[in-house]
Amino acid sequence: MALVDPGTDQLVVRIVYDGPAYAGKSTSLRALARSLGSDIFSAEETDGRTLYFDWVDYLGGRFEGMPIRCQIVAVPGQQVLVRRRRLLLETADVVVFVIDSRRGALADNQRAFDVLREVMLHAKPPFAVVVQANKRDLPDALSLDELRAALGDGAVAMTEAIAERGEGVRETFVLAVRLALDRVRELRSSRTLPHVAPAITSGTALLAAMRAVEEGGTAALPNEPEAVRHETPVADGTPRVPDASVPAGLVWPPVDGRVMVHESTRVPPRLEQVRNGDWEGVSRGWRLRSAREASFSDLEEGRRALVVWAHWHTGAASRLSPRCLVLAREARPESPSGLGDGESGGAPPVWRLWQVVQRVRSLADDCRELLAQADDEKLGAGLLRIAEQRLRAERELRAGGWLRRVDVHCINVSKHGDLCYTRFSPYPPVPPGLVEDEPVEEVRILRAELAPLLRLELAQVPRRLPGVITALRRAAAAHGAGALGTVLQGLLLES
Amino acid sequence: MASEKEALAVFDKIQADIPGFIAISLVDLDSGMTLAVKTARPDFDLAAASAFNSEIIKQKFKTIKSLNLKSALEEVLFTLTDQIHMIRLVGTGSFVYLAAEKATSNLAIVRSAVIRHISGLS
Repeated sequence: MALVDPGTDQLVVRIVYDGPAYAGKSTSLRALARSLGSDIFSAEETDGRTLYFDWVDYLGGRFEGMPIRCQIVAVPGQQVLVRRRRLLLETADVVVFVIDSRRGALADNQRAFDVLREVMLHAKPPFAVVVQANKRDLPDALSLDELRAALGDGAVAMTEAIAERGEGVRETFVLAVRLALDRVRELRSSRTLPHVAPAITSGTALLAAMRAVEEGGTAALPNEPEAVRHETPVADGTPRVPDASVPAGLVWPPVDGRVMVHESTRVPPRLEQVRNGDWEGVSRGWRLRSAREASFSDLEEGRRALVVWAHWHTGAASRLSPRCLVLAREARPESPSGLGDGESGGAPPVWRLWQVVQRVRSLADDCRELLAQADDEKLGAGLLRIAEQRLRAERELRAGGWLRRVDVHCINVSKHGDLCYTRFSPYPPVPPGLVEDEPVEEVRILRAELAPLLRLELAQVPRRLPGVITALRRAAAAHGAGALGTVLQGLLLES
Repeated sequence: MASEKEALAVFDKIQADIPGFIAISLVDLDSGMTLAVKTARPDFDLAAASAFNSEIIKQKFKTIKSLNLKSALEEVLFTLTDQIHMIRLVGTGSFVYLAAEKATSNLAIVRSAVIRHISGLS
């Protein structure tokens, strides 16, 4: 949905509030509207229940100099209205998934999340999801870890809220805007961000468009992928996605790899050729990539490349997030069988080497979540922890020369404090160089990576800096990290 | 390193020489991946067994190193109640893993057949 309106030079993004019935979507939107000083438009209600959607229009913040116009929409949660819900979800740049935190609501949360996942898989580029754990004041509210585990997606960002009191709602919204802008950046980098006047600029226009779809007049809402799709990079030569039928000897790691291939392709990912010619896809909790040149007409040649790459991964395994390598047959359009079959006279089989990487949270995600919702005390201590983990990653993940460069966007920290690298590994593999015994330039790293995050987030949620700095100093003193605390204090003041 | 086709030709000869042959694989030591496999029993998970055996060899390398031995590892034999498993190093980066029925074969036959044909894999 994101677009640049050439008439007003505004960036228009859509933030969709989704979730099961009675989770607090409309309550959140009403609280948000109050907090933003905006009006709310409810497109038909029965007994206080949303039948079409709730709509809030908000102009605030800037993206690369352009004012940001947020079209904020809450979907109907009732099962019978799932078609309307899907229609709106398909227009999202980011989704705030509002859930009831109580154990008794887990099944409804999971059911609704499954529908959201399905829509998300087909969004190009995929939109992010922020889970707003609502009703945190209730005595039987589950912990965030329990809720995250129940949803089965460790990569999802999560915030806490008590929408009835308006607590945590604005912070969630700020985080959602940040993630929507990430999607805009991705659209820009692939040159697929439309410059077109928005077809929908108000709640009444959206209601009319939805009715037109329901009456069969149109297939999708205006300004939606079907209406403005002009990227369409997928051509006849789209390779075949690896699946569980891949022979065991063509998967690394040999045992866990087969499980990963099965998991990652249970919902077939839709592939897209990116600008450098590589193929990429997103599946349920997994990302796939095959380099443009990782195609082999000869199985032995492909196997040799797989083994060499597997050696690299074996050496670097302790530094990497869960992933596997697969050598899979690539369909050729000229082959009658679609698989290529040299022996039966068709085109010879072509093999393609894939990397399948599990999606996990990054240190940058942790930082955004922290900045969006933590109180001053938690923020001070949390920033110090994130800075320490970032610097530790510089020493631990780059040790031995396996990884040339790490940053906050590609570092994951496990519950036990272990660090790993979350991006795709290089292909062809770069042999590890000599151990670089160069000093870690702490200030340069933190300034280059944390300062932009701080600047963006603090601009959205103005903080009482003296309170944060006091908490930061206290945490630094307790950890014996006075120098690091001073650096972070400087970054906060600059931001 | 032998190609898959060459390895399978060697495996055919080994199978012909071993009564009670179950399965054989050529395995990349570092990654644990099978480079060629032949099995007479489809329920025998050769890929998983090969991967775990590569870990056994790596551990044995560590043992040899910790003892400061100058010897090189040649083979590892396992005697199960009803099967014989043999691991034989091929060069420095791969190994052959073979399983046979104990009731119809014995260690001498297995070793002899593998050693006789394994040069075709180097």
